[in-house]
Amino acid sequence: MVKQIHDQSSRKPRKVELRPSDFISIFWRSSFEQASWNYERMQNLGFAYIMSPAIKRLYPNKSDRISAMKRHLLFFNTSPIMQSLVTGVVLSMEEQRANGGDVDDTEINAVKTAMMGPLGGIGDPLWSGTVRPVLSAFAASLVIGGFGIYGPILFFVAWNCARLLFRYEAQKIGYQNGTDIINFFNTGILKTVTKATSIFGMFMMGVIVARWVKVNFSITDQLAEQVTKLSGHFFGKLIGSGMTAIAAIGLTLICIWLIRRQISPIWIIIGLFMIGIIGYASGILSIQAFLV
Amino acid sequence: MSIISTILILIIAFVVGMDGILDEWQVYQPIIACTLIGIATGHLVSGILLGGTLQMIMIGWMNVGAAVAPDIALPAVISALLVCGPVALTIKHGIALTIPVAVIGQLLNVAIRKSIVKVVHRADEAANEGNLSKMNRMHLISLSIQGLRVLIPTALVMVVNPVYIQWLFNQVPAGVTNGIAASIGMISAVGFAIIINMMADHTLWIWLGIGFLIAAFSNLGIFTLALIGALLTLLYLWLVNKHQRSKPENGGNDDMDDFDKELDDL
Repeated sequence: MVKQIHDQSSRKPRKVELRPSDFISIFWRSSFEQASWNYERMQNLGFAYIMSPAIKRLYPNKSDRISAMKRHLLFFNTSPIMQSLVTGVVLSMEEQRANGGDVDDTEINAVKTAMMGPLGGIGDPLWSGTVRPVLSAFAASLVIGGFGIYGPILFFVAWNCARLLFRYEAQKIGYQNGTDIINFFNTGILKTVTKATSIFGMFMMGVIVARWVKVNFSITDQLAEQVTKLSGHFFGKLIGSGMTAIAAIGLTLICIWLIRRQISPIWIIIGLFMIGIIGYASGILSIQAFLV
Repeated sequence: MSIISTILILIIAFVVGMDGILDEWQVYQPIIACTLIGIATGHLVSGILLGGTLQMIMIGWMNVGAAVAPDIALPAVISALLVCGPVALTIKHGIALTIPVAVIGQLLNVAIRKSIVKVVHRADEAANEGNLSKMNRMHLISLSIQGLRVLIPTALVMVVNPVYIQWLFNQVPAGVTNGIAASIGMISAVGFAIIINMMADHTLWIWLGIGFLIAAFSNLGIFTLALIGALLTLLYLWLVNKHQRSKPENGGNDDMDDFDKELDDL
């Protein structure tokens, strides 16, 4: 104990240090990042808002505080949940800087800019492209399957647990490793992780399309029944699920093709409404059982 | 409607509007927003059912980069209010209503994202003064404006006499609402197409196909399928990694550890 105190006093004394309460406050604020999303500098004020407990702690001096606020109001935009990793790294840099470390403004901003692109490339496919569709599709199927309130509760709890845990850990890891994270990015690991999340995301999209895209042909069941009578149960089932499957994947691919041709999703939906109205009127399409 | 449920609905509309821009808590997703409105109005069952149905329609509506997708928060609240509230529309009517309201919500959202720039300039002034609490206030004012984006239209709808709204919807021919109800299963394809389009590159299509075929011709549950997907992903990357082992490389094992971590996060 005595030795420790001696060690500390022999080193250059730390002037200011972030406290556990600051980390908690910053973690809480990170859930409100996008509130001031704007077309000029996007998430800039959001980032400054998250950093503000740290700015307050680290820069009691007015001119330092002003320059810290200004540098965090520069352009920033990334996938929201991944932003906690950036916050962690920036916190460690700011703490070094406040204690006279060799860190300047442009360096902090360069780190933010270097991280936001790659993290956006992982974050969107992972969170909005995989976790949310899988969880919410499962929750919606619970609702339609008659489990009522358990669907929404499951979705809310599972999503927010995953999100908050991720943000908390990412902020901690970012702070502990500081700018080493950037070196870690350059090892190619990031590329492989991006690849892994995209592969998994595409696989799950295939699953979801198969389970939830449905063209409700009113004749599918009758046709399957006829085939079952003629050539056995196996072929009947194959025709039934084969027809449903081809319609589902075909429709999805057509939608992708239209979106790539810059056609607004709203117009595609209106077009599908039209097909639904004509199809229902002519008896080709029917309404799903739970809506009748 | 009682005063308590009116107040509750307005609070829900405000919170949903705020979360619509935050995209954090997912309270604005229809499966939750409609359920909350269902609780506030005392018609929980129809709220949940409407929420589940709208969720399938809007599941893939997401902002990619700076592009703003059709709005989710406003149509979720307005549809739920009209289905569960005193107007008591059918769920089919509620679904038909969402598309025009989603377009209105999107226009409002874009307009606000533009005008928030002025508030951000006030935050710049705060930075020049070194005034942290003023800067934070600007952020929270922006958040409230986004909350009002849903609260105000909701309040306007609540003021209109239910009889007029019912009359209006009775003018819509049954063929149209039934036709729209028949297209629900198809409409979810649009949202999935948005997501697939975001992720797709030419090496990834095969994975869409594999996932699709396994799910289409089996009766496995979605979490079993997710496990299969995770294992296949790991297997593939392990094979690729092994293939590249002949070339000078280090840290291969660390790669695998990180995948495990990443997948645990899922």
